[in-house]
Amino acid sequence: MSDPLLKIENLHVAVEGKQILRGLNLTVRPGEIHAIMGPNGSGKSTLSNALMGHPSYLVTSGTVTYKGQQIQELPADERARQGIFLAFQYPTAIPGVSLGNFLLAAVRNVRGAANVKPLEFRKELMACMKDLGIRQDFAGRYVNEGFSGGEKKRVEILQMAMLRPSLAILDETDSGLDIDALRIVAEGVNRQVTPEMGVLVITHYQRLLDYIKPDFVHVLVSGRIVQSGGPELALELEARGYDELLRTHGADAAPVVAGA
Amino acid sequence: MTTMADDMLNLEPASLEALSRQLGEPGWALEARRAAQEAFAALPFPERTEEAWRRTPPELFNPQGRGIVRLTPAFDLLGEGEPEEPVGLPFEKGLARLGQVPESLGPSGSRLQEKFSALNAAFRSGGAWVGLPRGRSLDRPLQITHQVPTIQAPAAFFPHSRIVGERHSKATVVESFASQGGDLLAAPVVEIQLEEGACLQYVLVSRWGEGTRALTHLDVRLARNSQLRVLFLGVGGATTKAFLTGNLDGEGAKSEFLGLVFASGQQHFDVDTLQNHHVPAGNSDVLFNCALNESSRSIFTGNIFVAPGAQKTDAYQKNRNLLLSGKAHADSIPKLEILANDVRCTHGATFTTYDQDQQFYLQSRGLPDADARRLIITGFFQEVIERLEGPVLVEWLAGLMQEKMETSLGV
Ligand SMILES: Nc1ncnc2c1ncn2[C@@H]1O[C@H](COP(=O)(O)OP(=O)(O)O)[C@@H](O)[C@H]1O
Ligand SMILES: [Mg+2]
Repeated sequence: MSDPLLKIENLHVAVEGKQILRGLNLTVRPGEIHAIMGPNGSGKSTLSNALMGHPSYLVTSGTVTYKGQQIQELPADERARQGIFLAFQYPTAIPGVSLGNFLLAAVRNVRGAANVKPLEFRKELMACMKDLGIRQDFAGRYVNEGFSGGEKKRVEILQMAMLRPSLAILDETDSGLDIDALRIVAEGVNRQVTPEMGVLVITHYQRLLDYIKPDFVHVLVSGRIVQSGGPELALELEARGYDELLRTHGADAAPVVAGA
Repeated sequence: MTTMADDMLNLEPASLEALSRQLGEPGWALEARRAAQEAFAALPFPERTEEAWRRTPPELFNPQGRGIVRLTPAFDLLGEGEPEEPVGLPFEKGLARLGQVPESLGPSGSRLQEKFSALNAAFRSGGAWVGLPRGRSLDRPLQITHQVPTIQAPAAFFPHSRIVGERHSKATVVESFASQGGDLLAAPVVEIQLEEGACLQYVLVSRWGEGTRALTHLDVRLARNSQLRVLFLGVGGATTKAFLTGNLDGEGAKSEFLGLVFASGQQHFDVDTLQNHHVPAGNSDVLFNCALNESSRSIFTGNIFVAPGAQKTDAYQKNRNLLLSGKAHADSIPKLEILANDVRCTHGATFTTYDQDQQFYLQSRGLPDADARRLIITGFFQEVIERLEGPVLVEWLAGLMQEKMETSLGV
């Protein structure tokens, strides 16, 4: 088997003094798509933010190894330049900064300024926007300001297309999308997936996985992966719901006794 | 063309004569200076207890014991194009052509009612005179630059600029005030008069040196259906106090006051705007964005006066503050005096600190910390910049802000 692209070992993450991830393990190899499912509040976005290097999400123990190097101490921009991308669940508005200028700055930093010619950049941007059904005038609009939920999600995938990451983390990219938009966005993602790339699809619902077919499905409950399986697990969860898992693994459940 | 420290004049009546002579002024101009000097002497020095001076001590602007810097402004046009003679003269040349002092500088003129304006009228030592001819549109922005070189001994500089937009003229004027090193008191007065239907964009760039205290007066009179857009751009100077006043004298006038303040270090900016609605159906709009780094401080006081009978007035003002450091401080004070009943008047102020989520979002796309900061600040100013017309002007302003960013953020 090839070397892992991402290896998360015994990851513990705290936010504002509150322990959210409590010993998470996950290995992603190049070419693999992993889905992470779980109820609200289980720590899915915490995992995304911690992997991207948000300073408020403190890694209290454990390691994150990406392309053979531990990255848990690296700042977010360094991780981005090394090929990690997060499509945010709630993208932030940056008033006064146009999407076009922002993306040019981003692409320059990630690919190296010398490798980006403004004219070619513009062409590439327009082509990517067209693929994702984003109107051209969005390049002049301020980043996420006044965008609808669906527009924000499309624009996240647009950024992914322009930044061409090796590891993409999609945090609830399906929320806020109607069925047509969902298809366009999923197709956009699928077009970008290469055999070298790893993808973490984080979702609350199964429906996105009809379009982006995962190789593995994991269930996150109370900061731990409590069950892993193939694509069929997603369908099972859809039918069963999270209630039973929450009863056995939730924060209020009886502590798991080692060796029991 | 600057008078340097060795032949600087003092604030004495005898200096008036010397100044007037050096500038080649006629006798009636000297008489007007004398009247202004008397008015200055008779007016009390402002007290800290006065509302306008509560947050910036007036003593900082005491002119005593300083020499006077005499300076001729430079005129040119922004942007590319055919070489053209800019429509501007040194103030005293314009005055000579007019053949008399403008009403505001006359014996009972408005300038002689206020201490520092009277001081400026008496010891006027520079300034520009711009007449925008009737019906003419200037294609390119006119730039006026007052650049005080390094001074050795404490000095004062009193430029007086006058811009008259004749009926249906249209222009953009950028007036920059700058200085190098040394202990300078700068007290510029700018008077703008817009005749019926005239349309003017006026940018006042306050980029004084580190040792400069600046006390700026801008007064605009707007006749019927005239349109004004002012941008006050505060980036330089140690302490700045500015009074920016729009007088909506004619119905249907539109007065837009924009402000960009980017303060760093120990800089102090205290700006009062006043929109005087004297007649019905005027429209005033104020938008002041201040970004404060390190231990800098800003005070924005937005005054709106609506006279009895000035119905259908539409007055709007907004002040946004971006605090880039825990030690920076901003105040926003609205003062509305509304004596008519059928008016629309709104005020809003916001204070935001540097947003960690925005920072993280940008960094997650590969932008280093410094680039992310710069982009967020640029975005904060954009709301104001985009109100301005003309790509040449906008680009020039962007360059100026970038320059300030490089010196104050080191990015
Ligand atoms: N920035 C934050 N500040 C405070 N609490 C947070 C923050 N982010 C997440 N949490 C808390 O961590 C827990 C997990 O949240 P999250 O990771 O967003 O879950 P999910 O994405 O699975 O819905 C929740 O209890 C949430 O309130
Ligand atoms: Mg979430």
